[in-house]
Amino acid sequence: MSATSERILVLAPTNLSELLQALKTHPDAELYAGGTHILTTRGTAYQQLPEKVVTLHKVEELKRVTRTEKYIEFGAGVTLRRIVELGPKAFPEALYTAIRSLGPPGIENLATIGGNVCVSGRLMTLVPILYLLECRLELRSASGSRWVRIGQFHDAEGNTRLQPGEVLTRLRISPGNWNRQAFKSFGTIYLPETNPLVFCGLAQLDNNVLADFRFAITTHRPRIVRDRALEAELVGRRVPLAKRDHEVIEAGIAGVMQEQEVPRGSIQHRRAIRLSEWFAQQLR
Amino acid sequence: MRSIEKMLAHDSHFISDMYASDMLYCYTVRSQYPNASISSVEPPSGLPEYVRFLTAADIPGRNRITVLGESVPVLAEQQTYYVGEPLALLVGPSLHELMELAQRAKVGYEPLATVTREFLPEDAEHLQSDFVKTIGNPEEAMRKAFQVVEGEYQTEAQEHLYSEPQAAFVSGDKNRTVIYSSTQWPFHVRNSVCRVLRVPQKQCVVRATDAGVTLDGKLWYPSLVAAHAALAHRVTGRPVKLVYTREEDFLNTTKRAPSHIKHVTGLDRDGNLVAMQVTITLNVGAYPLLSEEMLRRMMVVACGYYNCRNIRIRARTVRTHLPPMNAFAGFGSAQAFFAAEAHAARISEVAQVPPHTWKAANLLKRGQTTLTGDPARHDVFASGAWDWALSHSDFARKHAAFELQKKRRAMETDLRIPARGIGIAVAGQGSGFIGRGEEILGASVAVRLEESDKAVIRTSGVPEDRGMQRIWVETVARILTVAENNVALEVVDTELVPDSGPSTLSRNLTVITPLLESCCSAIKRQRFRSPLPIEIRRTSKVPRKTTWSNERMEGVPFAGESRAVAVIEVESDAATFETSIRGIWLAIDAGRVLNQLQARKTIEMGVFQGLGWAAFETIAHLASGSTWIDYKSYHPGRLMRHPRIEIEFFSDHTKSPAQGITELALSAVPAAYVNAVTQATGRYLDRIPATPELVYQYLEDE
Amino acid sequence: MRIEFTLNGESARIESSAETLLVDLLRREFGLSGARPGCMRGQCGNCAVLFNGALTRACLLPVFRLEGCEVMTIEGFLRTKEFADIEYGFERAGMDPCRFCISSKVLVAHSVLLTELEPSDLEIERATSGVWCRCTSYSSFVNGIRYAAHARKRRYNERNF
Repeated sequence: MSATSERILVLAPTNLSELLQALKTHPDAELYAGGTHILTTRGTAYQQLPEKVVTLHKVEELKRVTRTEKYIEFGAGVTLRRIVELGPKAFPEALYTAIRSLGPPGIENLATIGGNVCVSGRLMTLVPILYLLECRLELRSASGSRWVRIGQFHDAEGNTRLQPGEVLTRLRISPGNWNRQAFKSFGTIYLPETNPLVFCGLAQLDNNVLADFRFAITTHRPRIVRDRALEAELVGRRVPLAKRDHEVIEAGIAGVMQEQEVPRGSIQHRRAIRLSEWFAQQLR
Repeated sequence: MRSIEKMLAHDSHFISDMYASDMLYCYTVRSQYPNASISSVEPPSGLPEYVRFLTAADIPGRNRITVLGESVPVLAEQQTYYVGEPLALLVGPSLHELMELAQRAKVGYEPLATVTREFLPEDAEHLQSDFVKTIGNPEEAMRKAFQVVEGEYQTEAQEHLYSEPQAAFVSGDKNRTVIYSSTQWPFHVRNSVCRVLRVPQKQCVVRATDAGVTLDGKLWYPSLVAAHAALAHRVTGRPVKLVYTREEDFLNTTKRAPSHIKHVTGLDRDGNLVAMQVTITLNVGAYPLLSEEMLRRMMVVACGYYNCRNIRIRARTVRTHLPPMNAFAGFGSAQAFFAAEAHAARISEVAQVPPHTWKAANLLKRGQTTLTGDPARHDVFASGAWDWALSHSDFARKHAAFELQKKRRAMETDLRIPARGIGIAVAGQGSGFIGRGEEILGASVAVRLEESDKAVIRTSGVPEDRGMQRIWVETVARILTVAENNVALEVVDTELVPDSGPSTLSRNLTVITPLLESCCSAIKRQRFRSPLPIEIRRTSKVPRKTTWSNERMEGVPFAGESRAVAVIEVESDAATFETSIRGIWLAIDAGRVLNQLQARKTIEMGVFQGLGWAAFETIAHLASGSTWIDYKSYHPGRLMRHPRIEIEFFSDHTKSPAQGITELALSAVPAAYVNAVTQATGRYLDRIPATPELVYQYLEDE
Repeated sequence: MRIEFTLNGESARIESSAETLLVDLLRREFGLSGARPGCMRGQCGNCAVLFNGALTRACLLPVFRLEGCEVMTIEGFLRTKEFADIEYGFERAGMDPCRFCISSKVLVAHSVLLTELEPSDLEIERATSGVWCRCTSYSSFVNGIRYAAHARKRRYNERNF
């Protein structure tokens, strides 16, 4: 079904096949999921929508949630509310916390997990935690499909690597077995003046030994801050961590933040170090 | 209580709900520069024929809105002084279209140097008013002081966040203009529009719509909005609706004026006050309005309620390239009390005396003289409010315990354990305009008793909430001994009601209510001698013997005064510095309380307004002059998951008149909160909002 | 475009531009003013409606989303038993909200009670963060929701007897 008003063309496919066909025919159309990003970040109220829109709300295949022993899979069109209703025990606590931080029910009922990941120009709140959970994305077009790791889905400017005619259809995460999880978010991604920062941490403890350890930090810049060398160095250490380990963490985080051009002494820089220290103290 | 269903079922009184079939919309074209001379203001290319573009040249009368001698332009002409300043109006049938056209309007700018956040008190171009008040010999007393404590305190702007954004709806014909305005001052709207359109007052009628909560954001600004809509109506001859979006309102309208206040205080060996020097700098944005009232009120309370014989206060306004900044419930008192009480906490720390002990020693006692030379008739909190606040909050024990914890924390670095703090502050509220201001403004009300024993209250006063309305109804019903549901409020229409002045500074309670009482008493005396209907009108009079001198800042500044003690206990996350509130205690000394339930609600609302300002509401003005809003920051729930607020009322003179309380919590809560967070975080906080980011900033500064 | 949807329990058919927002549509085509336009960016929460039973902001719903859906505004919600619980709760808590935000506050309370009759402080905080207004103290709003929850539980228990 499609509709033309005076100004915009709205394509409303009812299944995946129609969706892919619509994108093939109109590769320049903008995808419209919940609309919470596109409508809340317009320059002024009543700023017009794009001239060509493909709305995804009728495509049932995008609304499925699948769980197996090894992974959890969300359709890109699954609303945040639906995910929340699965309950906090259905998937990693840090992801649950992240989803709940995105807004009140009036937003949750419209916003989709795929929409959050597909925002161009910046890395939105869910991206770092999905990154730590080794999220893989299925991208489909009329000519085929591919899976990409979420870490490779955005370029250096934060734009998605969706090809013309492609759409994100599924997100698959490996829940893992994490004893300690952390998600903290500050500020608003759209407003650098609010010193936005997202901190995610995951740790697996096994008989007082750190079996796995991951962290990721994002700011308003479209980059994920992570130091795998630091993570690898800490794996195998006994918990609670020794004073020297804390110093290593602090130095490592400070270094990586600087490399990512987060100015030393900035609020984001200090916050990242303090949160890393706090998370390290949770490991016991 | 009026049920919610009834409330929702009644016709709406909001301008955003008003429609007329031939109505046009009006949209404001705004300046893009904080300071620039303007060479031209032209419509966009391809302006449709059915859209009008109006500039200052289209104004038939005066291109100014005036408030107590100060003014702003209706539409800027040769120079613009802030981003968002109205330059022109677009009038047409589609609001969407007007918004799009506004972005393409052609304005010739020559940018000039900009001043926004920096205070340049010595720069004559920017320095506006400058008042000084001295008692005793503060310089000499400071030289002889045992120790001197200095502190600089800064407060940011605060958005009023009134119920409906700024709006006006204007209709009528060539002989009569009818203005629907969401305003606290209907006659100011009328008089302003008449001057702008150059028409006699009888040709203009203002009908006040439901303003909801206003907090002084709708004191004079609605006159500007109404003038725009009325101009558009005059030019087109059609009904015109002008409604700001919430964001437009956020970015462009007046806010609480930011302030910078410096305290230099001399103490004796026991840590008690011997000298105080206070310098107040108020950032009034591009146009100072109500600045003298604000400055004088701030001066009166700049030293808090403390006893000191040697004081020098200097208060000035600085003009910058921000939107006009001025009144917010309290007209500057909240800023002054914040600085005074944050400084008092610092003094007590330097003097190594617990804050409550220091305060008890230095608060004014009976017979001691205030800054304005008025002898205190009793101890500041003779009513028992102080003792209640201390005992119910368990302040002394908790403060000592948290101090010990703070010292231990300095040696440990466990970020998993939250830190606690408790703060105390005292503040007050003066009712009505200062000194003889009431005489300049005046207030008239009328009450009419009809044959059916129905009473009608006629006033242009706009009640801030239904509680105030109830008080008026109850008052009239009680004195005239009629049923409450037989008492009605006349619609606020400038043709039907007398001019009661602005509804601000608790005048609804302290000026209008006594006038209503006087009307009713007079009716009561005549009732059985004269036939009904009887209508009595009363006008406020400032007693000739009022002792206030504006020039010398001496005497009794306010018709009445209320006071409060606030105690706040907080818990701060050691990793993120996010704060949650464990308890709030407020002791209020406000004379006779007419309606306890309503008074309690008013105080509670003030608590959240004060917390918002002190803790998280962020509206920062960039050096470029543009403004950004952190929408996510505007929610009190993040502070208080399970809020516990205890409020108690006290009066040491049962027959005293009722005093205004709307601003009390706004003035007392911020310093109590910041002092508590200072103790919890171990970082000396001297600005609000005292956000976690501020703590981080101070971490590095150490 | 022409669409058909259910509005306050009744079938509604309109013709409108596909990008017209629901908050404007309700006022212009149906004379329903309870959902108030405010920020027009989904921030202030004053345009709350129930969309397919869930709390949603009418300024985030273009007409093209409405086909076949159910919309309930405050005007329709007033007629439900669920409203009565909330009215009781708000009055018991002494809430005196202004008319500008009352619709949103009622629907926000409903959204909390839809999922949980013993809402946690966190749930209430999350839901109420969606409505801005200085007219009510935050604590009375919280209490209002809790009293409404009690009323609803009582009603459900009575029904089960």
